[in-house]
Amino acid sequence: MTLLNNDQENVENDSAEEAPRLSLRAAARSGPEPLRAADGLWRKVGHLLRRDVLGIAATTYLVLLLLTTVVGSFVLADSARNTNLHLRFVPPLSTQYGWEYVLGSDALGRSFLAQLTVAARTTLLISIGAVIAAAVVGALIGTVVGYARGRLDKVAMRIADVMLAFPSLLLALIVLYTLGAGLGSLILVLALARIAMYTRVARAETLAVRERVFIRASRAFGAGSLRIVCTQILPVIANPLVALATLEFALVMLAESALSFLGLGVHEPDVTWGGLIAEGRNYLQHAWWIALLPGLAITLTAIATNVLAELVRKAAESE
Amino acid sequence: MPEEPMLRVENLVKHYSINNGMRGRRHGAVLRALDGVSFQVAAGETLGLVGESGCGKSTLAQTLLRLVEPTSGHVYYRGKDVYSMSRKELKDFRKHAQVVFQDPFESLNPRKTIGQIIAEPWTIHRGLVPRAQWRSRAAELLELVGLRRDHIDRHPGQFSGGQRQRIGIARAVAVEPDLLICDEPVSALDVSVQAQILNVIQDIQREFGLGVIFISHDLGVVRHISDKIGVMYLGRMMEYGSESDVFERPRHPYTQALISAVPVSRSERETALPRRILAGDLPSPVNPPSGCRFRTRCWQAEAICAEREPALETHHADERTRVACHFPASSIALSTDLIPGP
Repeated sequence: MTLLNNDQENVENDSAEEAPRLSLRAAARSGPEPLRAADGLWRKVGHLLRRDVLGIAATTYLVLLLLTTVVGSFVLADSARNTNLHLRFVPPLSTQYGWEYVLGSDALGRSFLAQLTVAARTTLLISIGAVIAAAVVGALIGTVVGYARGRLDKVAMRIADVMLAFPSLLLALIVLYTLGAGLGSLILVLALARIAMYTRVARAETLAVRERVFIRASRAFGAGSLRIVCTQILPVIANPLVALATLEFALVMLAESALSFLGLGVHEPDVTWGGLIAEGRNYLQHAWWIALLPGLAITLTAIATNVLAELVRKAAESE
Repeated sequence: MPEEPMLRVENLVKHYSINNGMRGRRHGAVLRALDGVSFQVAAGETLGLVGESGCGKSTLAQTLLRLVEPTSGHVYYRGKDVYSMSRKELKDFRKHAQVVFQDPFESLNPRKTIGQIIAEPWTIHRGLVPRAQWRSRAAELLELVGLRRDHIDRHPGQFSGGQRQRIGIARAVAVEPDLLICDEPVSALDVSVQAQILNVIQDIQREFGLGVIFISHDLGVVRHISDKIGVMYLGRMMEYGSESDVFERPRHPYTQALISAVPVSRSERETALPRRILAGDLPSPVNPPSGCRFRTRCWQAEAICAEREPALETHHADERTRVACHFPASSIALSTDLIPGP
């Protein structure tokens, strides 16, 4: 009974124990301010970014791309449409015909800078839309079946297996031929092909979380399953899902480009990077930039998002 | 007929079927986590449940609150059977019976602030506390358990184990329950912090007049806090009586062995029980010994112990401690006041 002789309430002593648990990554370095496990994901990403030249370059590129796309699609909307048959195939890197032609012109004499910018908007719109749609639907399904377990879980996971085993390009071809190409059906197809990934990750994370004691505590308060899934599980498993979504962005963009290149993308006047490459293929002999520049844009964007995805993954894991 | 106690547990059984084998077939093996446990808890009373790990203490806590469904048996809360309650009645029951978990590092959602954690029951039971008062009420609860008001916006990761356990207690009493089940609330904590948490629990019990079921493997802790003691072994109650009876006049050999294992100071040594060291390990709850479960480790076991399982019963008309043993130690000089006041 000796331990109980120390009866007096000693809160201060208890508080002295209080130590913010440093994330391993932050503790290993001597960062300006230590990171806490409870910090938001983006704060952690920002923290990791400070020491990562490649990460800074990738982020800068993506921010610039977004800015150009948003601003450019207003400023350059007209010049993307204006044809000028006197200025066909103007080579890039000269301001002889004004700044709009700094990246040359295409077969109809349209500013290629404007074409690229407008195509970027469509490409990003489709990719981001597809990623968000797939992430939301996939995560919800995965969390619900992971929490419910039982037959529902088994059926859902077998369907996910089939979906992942099925070549997504083939699936896209079938759906696009039946639905007809277009912005909406392209987003639908790209999302459909990737839902199973999020379902799997969300389910695996949910299985680990559902056995934790704070879930039992919620049940002891009388919380229903839907409430537990939405308010207790989803906030905990959000980080790995965000990390997955960042990684998926590049994949989805590449898939979209492939479909556009095959002529299954959006219709004129809408155009995407993949569509530009398909067009440029006809003029490779004497107008290399029409295929090369959108290809370069796709490659750079894919690399930059992959670099960022790696940072997000690291931040998501540092808990 | 005596007055209905707040909580009455009758012959509670929880068996887990063990799924073993490559093809996922059930082989019929059954783990007997709880095998017929009965007891009562009155309002304002503390029942301490002790036993080795693996004796079904935590299963009991979960089953009492219907976090897991029992195999058979009944739990009556104020006369109502918890296991036949409708969804609505069960939700209402969860306002009255709450639980403090063992591991304070696992029992709080790491993504939520302390304020959100304490307010969680109020989001489930609308009308308990109006939304406008959530923050001030949560801050009051923090002070009640000995934390500072300004801790409200922090995350669980910023607190020590003892502080987290205080938060867990604050959350449990946020619904103003009248039954609090403490499932080894201090065994994950440093010894220096244990006493503080025990005091918080005791203060809260006095303030709210709670019935407490205190589960622990630490006899010293249980003795400090309990009015009544139940000693469990392999899913069954071995001895059940008031704190003073069980600790001063243990009747069951198992209880005697447990108490003799508690270290005593030199001055107490003369009155202490002779040291009994139990041989062997806890038998498997999948295949418990026939007859008395304790017989494989009991120094008094005879042939009858292997044949017949002793019932938990009183052995003399004038005593109140119930013992499940064929040869309970004789009680000398029974005290007249067996039930200590709160």
